[in-house]
Amino acid sequence: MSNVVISYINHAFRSDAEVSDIVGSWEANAPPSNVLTTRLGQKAIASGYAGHSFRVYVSSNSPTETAEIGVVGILGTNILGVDDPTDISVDLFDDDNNVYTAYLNSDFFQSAEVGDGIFQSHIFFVVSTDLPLAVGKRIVNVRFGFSANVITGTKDPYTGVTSQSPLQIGGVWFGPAFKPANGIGIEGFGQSVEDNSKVLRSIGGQVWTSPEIRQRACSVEFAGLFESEVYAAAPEQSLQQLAMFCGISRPLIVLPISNDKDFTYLQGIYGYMPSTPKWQSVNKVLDPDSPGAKVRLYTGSLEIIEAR
Amino acid sequence: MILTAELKFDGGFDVKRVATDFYYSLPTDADGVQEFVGRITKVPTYKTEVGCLIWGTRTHSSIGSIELANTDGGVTDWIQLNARDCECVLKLLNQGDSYDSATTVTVCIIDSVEMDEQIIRINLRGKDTLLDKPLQPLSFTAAQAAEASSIEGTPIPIAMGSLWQVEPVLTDVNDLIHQLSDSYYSEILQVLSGGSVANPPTESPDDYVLTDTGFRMLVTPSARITANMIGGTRPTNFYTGDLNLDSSWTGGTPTDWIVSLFGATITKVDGIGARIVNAQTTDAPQIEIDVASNNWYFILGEILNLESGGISITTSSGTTEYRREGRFCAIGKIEGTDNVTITGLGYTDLTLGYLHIYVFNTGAETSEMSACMLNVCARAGLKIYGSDPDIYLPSNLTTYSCGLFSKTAMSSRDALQQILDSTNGWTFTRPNGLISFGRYSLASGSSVLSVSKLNLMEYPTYKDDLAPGLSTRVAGGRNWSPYADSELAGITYPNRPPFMVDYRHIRTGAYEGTLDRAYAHALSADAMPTLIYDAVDVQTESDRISQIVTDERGFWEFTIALDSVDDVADLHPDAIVLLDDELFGADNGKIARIIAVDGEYNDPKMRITVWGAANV
Repeated sequence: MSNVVISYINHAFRSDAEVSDIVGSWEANAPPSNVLTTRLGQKAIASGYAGHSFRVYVSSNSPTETAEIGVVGILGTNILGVDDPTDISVDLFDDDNNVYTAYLNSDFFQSAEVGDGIFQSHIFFVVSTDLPLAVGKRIVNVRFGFSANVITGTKDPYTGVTSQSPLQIGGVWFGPAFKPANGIGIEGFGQSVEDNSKVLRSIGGQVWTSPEIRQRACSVEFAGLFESEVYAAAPEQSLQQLAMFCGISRPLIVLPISNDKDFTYLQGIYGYMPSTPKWQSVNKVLDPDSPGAKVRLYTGSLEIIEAR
Repeated sequence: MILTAELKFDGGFDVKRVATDFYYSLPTDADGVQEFVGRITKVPTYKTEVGCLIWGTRTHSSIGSIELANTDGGVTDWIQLNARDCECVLKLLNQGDSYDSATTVTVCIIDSVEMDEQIIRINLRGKDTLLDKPLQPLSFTAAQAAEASSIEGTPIPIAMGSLWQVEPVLTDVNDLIHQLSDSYYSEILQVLSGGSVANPPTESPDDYVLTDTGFRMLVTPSARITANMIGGTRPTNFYTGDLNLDSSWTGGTPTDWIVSLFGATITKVDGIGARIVNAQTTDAPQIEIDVASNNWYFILGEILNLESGGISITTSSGTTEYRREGRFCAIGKIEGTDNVTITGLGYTDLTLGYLHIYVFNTGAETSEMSACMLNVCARAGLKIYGSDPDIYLPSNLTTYSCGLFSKTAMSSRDALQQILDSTNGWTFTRPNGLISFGRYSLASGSSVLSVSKLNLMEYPTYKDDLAPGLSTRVAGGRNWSPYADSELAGITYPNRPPFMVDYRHIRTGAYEGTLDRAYAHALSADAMPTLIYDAVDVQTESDRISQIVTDERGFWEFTIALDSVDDVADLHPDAIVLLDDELFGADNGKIARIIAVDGEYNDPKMRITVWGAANV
């Protein structure tokens, strides 16, 4: 069972993605269309505290253009909490306009933890295989909804006191998921924080700092990838495709699945790889699906540094 | 912190906002929520070092450039924008801060825009570079030179302040008309002909009569003509109906102004000014103000976004057309019932960024040096009064009598520096964008920074102030055109020297006898030349300088860590720092004047040079 979800294709970042069905007031210079860029700092900012929503279409709603949706994300938000799990909703529409709605506790979705307002704050929904999508149907657009009860703003890291400010969203994500069957080893998920701050020391030993943005980083070690998970062709997800598609210039998401008891509280990272991933083959092992046969396993690794 | 840059291309018509990270101003800010795109990959550096005659240096300053990521081609079209001389405002702030309340670390000028592979580079320079304009843009036309052909194409003279022996321009060889200045003068004290004093108009028979800009000889002079005079000095704030066309202008016709559209339109452009559109062949509109007659006026303004046409400025002195973008300064006299009139030319579409009118002060000046500096700045098109001035003139800079005369091509910067050299002064631009002035003087007042091991990044270095340009003597009372001995036939020999010397007053400082040994060279050095007119003022300046050098002075240079990167707004030339550490030796516990700063915006360290540590 995979304990990590990676997503490297985001339909919202396609050049033909567009935002429509906008509900609520948004700042003229920070419109909802800002969620379609890879830069989470370029935000959509609501004006006021009423309910807001918008829908992201791809390729003029053509069902042939989308792939499976495995991960849905609301990225770079200032959401601090909700009164009710239904305050935030994600509606996935298929090409028959059937809708599949996710809330923070939806049966269809496993949600990662909401951010604490200090790190980059993301909300992720991992689509389970039980999504009752009709045969031959594909998700063609996604609506993101936020009720007036969503708590937004900033939180004082010392006191926990919140300062309210209108909803801000840096980006949205919906795309296929790459979930290697053997996942990553417990030892194979290293985490750290990169700090861009400037620190000076006077000759008297006093420390002078100029705090800057801190970015999370993680390294992922794949203990045993099947050959299909390394070399599968599109639309299947694979490590080689990830390397070819993203390189060091396209973002991806690495998301530990939070209901795995082996992991403590973790938050998915949206970022870029400083260098392309690597993999190598190891000895063949017995194929669990074909008694007597052997399959080739691969080990691999990638690193990601949070982007803003 | 985030460094934001507001680039006002095309005079403010096309404002581009970028930053080191995406930033959004608050809904409560004056311009509401504005997006600053996080494209800045390299922040500019800054370096300013003031200089003076005593140090043998000149002020120089530079601001680096902003580099913007252009990997997506999103800002490629910026290379086509009208950028030259447009304003750039840099601020430092944190996410969530109000833009209006954020610290401005510099207001500067865009020099040029370059594209270099995947980078757009915005080159910046200091606002004081606006002084790099001709002091006198006007020269004698063919019509004006009809009776004196040799003057055609030469600059029209300018006379300001108190002056000895200026040689006027003979503009009419037949009628013997002499021009001293392009505008108002206060008084002609004497007209000299080879040293002989001509009879003024108040005597009979009189040898000359006054004109608006000089005088006309009634007798043919036997020798070269010079004049002792007081030229036009301080332009004062006249405009009761301020056409200061920035965000403070609410639109409509200000008090005392008369606007006649005559088929043209004037439309307020928020935050920029007034757009004038005239689709007719005839000139329109007419914007005039009824001012007091028999006065001279400066009419300053700035033309932005010039699509076509231009404007003309009309006074009783004549009409001047302006058909190019940028700042302008017209000078003219109003007589009788004439008004100062600004007119749109045929087929005009432009925007006036501001319009100021100053009147020449006809009263006596208590500080001619300050008045001359304001005169020069106004001629460069700098706003010297109002809600949004370009300069800051410290009230205690100097109260000396002073004068400047020019018949040759000279920049406003050079003219200003000549005046400032009279008190070993300098000019620089403050972080808030105001062009300011200072001078060689010991620090006084409260300090903005205390320097010690707590914030020193390295051991400070010290260099003696060798003062190569120092002299115990100051020269003033400049004869702008000394006579040769052979020209003074009408004067007895003992009385000739004052007319022949370069400077009528050379005074030795009162502290000459107690100079620090490091400055012994000053005892035999040439007198420091100044434009100071009065002998008493020359003595005052000489005493002032000599008193400073009774102790050895020096330069301390060090790198400090800033408590906050936006502290850079307080640390500029002329700011005072406290040297508060035994590392400064005998200067420990003394205040000193900043004379140089060097650093990079948004960097927490700064290199500072201070001079002249003095007791608190």
